[in-house]
Amino acid sequence: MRHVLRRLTTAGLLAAGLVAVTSPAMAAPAEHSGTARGEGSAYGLTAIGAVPLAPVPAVSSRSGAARKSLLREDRTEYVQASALDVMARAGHASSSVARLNVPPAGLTAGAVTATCDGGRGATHLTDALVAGRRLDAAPPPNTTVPVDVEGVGRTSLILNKQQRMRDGRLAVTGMELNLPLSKVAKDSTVRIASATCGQAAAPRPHAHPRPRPAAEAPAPTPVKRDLPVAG
Amino acid sequence: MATMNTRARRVRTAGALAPAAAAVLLLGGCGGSSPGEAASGEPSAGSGLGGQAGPSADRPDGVNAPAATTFATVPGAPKDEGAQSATDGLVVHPSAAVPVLDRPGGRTVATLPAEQLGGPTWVPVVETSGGWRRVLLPSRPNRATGWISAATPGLRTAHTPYTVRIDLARRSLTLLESARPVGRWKVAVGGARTPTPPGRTFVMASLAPAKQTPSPIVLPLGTHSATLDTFGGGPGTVALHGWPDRAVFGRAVTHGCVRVPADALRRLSSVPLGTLVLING
Repeated sequence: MRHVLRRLTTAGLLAAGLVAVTSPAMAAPAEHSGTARGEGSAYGLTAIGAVPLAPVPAVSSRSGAARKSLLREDRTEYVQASALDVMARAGHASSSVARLNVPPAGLTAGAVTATCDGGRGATHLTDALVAGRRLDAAPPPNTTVPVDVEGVGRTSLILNKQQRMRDGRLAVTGMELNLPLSKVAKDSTVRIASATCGQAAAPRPHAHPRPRPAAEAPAPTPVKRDLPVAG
Repeated sequence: MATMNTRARRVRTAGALAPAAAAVLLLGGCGGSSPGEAASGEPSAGSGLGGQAGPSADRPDGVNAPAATTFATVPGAPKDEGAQSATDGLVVHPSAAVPVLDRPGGRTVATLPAEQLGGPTWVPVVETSGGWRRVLLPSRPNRATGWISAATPGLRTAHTPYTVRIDLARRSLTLLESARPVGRWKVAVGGARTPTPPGRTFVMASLAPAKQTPSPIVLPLGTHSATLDTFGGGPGTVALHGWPDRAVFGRAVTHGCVRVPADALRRLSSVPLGTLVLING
């Protein structure tokens, strides 16, 4: 909680809506890990589907720490949040979103924090409620909670979603909510507090190069069939 | 000669073998699709053949375009310009019917089905433009090509090291592997009135006819006789196949097909489908 408050305080000091601090020179030495490798990336909130929202704030880094903060996100009426704070450096990423409110699903949270460090992920929820029901503060990876959206039907909320990307990195998303906005409109998926880290799988070493080409066309198998041809 | 085919079928029905129709009947022993065996895009037995677009039973984009088979005509297909040029050997196989366009991102003129004559469709890539591949089509008119998207799901690519060159003047066939000749044979080519069509085509299918004579294997190409709209009930497809009488090799006596010696047929029957066949005139 103290961690969240510190971030909230940091965000509260920001005069503008969005302030980016991306200079590695400003990174705290303690945040450097001498062995950490690979790209870290994080974003605070995004939505895809009927009402898309580009990831904000979003940051990535392959070296020193890069941070971005957004004081408030309320461009749509179905998801609002304050004090979105993201950080990324080589091998590490974190994202924190405070005062989350998703009215259609009755979802609120004091804070949602996702961290990814050295290829391992975690999510922490503070005062998170869905339809008046309190959610676990440290949910296990990929915890699915059914959610009833009034007038539309049942949908699902995934907590601490941990997904291995195609390149081998780990993506940790604090909350992912499939949000049916109506019975006829296309769904939206809202993702809150996401952090990705780890080293992308290296390309195959060239020590044992395959002879070109990799795919040799196959010899045909005759088909038992007749075709009158111009003999 | 096109009208001769109607006559030939009548002759066949009557059982009287006119000399001109003898080859039809011999290979007609290889011919005559059984009802119910017709693959996608083929007309049913007894329907009109040559010069007609095959039905497009499998239309991936809902466009009323013909399925590009040996039975079809694709009117809007751009003509192959590289008549004698070898390629790098790239061949592609669609796992489902794919749209064929007249240019990259252009108009759909046909669909390329996953099968030809009961076997897998493999066509050679003769040009690349960004994410598009220009391929040779097995349909009329001869030298028909079309563009397919390289991003087509399930599109398999492979490489064939072989090229077949047929010299009509010398009446010879050369098999090249990685551009080096690995076999050369005297062959029989089309006669003066029914010449083998020159141009760039490909090995379209490998068939094992019910009757082993005159040839245990028939390798239909993606080209057709230019003078016979139909032949023996088929669409006038030109093929590589064997011939029991060795006296024909080195002569221009066929109805468009290329008759090859037994050892040539054995080598050619292992060449991947889609392999280029360059026929010079």
